[in-house]
Amino acid sequence: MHEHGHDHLHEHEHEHDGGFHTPRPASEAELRTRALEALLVEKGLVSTDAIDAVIDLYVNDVGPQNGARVVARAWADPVFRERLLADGSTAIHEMGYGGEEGHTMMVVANEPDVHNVIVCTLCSCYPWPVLGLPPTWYKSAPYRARVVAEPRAVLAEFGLDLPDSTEIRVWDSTAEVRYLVLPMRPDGSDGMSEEELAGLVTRDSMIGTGLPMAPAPA
Amino acid sequence: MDGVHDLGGMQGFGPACWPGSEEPTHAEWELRAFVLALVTGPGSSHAFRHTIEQLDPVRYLDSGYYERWLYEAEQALVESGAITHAEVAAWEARLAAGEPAPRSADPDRAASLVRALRRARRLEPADEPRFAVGDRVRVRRMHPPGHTRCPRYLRGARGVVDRVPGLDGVPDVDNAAIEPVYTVRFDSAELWGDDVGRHLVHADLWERYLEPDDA
Repeated sequence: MHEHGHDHLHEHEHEHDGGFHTPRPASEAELRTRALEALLVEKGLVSTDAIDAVIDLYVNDVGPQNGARVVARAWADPVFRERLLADGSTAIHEMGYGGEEGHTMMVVANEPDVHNVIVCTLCSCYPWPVLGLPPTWYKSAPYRARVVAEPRAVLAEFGLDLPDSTEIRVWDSTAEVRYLVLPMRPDGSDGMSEEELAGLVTRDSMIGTGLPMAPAPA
Repeated sequence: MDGVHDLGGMQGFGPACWPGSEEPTHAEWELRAFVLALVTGPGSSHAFRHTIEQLDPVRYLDSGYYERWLYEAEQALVESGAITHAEVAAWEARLAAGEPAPRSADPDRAASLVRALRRARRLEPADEPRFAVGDRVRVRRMHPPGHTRCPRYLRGARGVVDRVPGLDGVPDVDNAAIEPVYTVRFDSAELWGDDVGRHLVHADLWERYLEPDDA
């Protein structure tokens, strides 16, 4: 499974300059977007301030900082952790993180010998209320195609080399359940406040393609 | 439909991540296209996805992610009769000639839209599911002409019911047909043989996608 080595990587590099990852000239799509918005505003089907308000929601209010607070609380509070794993929807909604693409939440916990990773092979399902909008790679063909078949090789490309003894669990979001990975609390984080702990939680650690940051040495 | 969007297990796409792929968006128009699709959408995620799945396969792969959302927004509005492609093209010409885009404000509607997007809902529990946690099941063989959420790479595979998340609208029919969804666990060897290392894959599958595995 490791034949996708560096040669493969270089072989494909050129495609990422002009291939399917790079849309047609942005101006074309940009102009079409502006034209569609202008038409819808003219017809009264949308208002400009509504578009701006929803952009503000997904740029400023909804993002991985929300998921980080959920994870930090689970690390700090064993009772919350138990509830989060038993009924992710209720525990997350109680923290105020509900809404589109995050209605039914399932939290999957990493353990010393278990590592979880999420994907949507059919489109781009992703838990918006706790992670915001997905990174470009999450929505693109290579990750969606490969992580269900060769997760170890994919995770290695993200810099995550897991021992062979680690059981990898891939979660393909094919229905309306949205997944969040609960990473393991990093060593050396004893005594840290919930807020400090949230600062260690990275977006990728909640997708499963990364790990939380190590605490700065005291 | 067994379209090119159904990517699980395909090979030859190259590295999973590359410089610049960490960001969710790369230009303002992508966010605006995203929001236009979101707020004018058909009200059903199944209809939304099916519109994108019907893109020409070459164009699907050749498009940026938010280009596909832009396509969906315009296509769905044209199909519902709200606008025509010609009207969008006419605005393209006017904007290209330097005409300023119209702006409008409706603060109450903007606020209620944001509230709706933040509203928490969840699947209703399945009272009498056909399969129970631990049951051995097999994914049915199928070749559906319309929308489906049963990925090709799972067809015919044997797995074990891991959880029963609840009741949900059946994508292949519409949201009015409700049935239990099961989280099914598959061993990688069942999906890919000996060609990959061992791991587990889980997917959420509607009851009609599954049959008992009596073997």
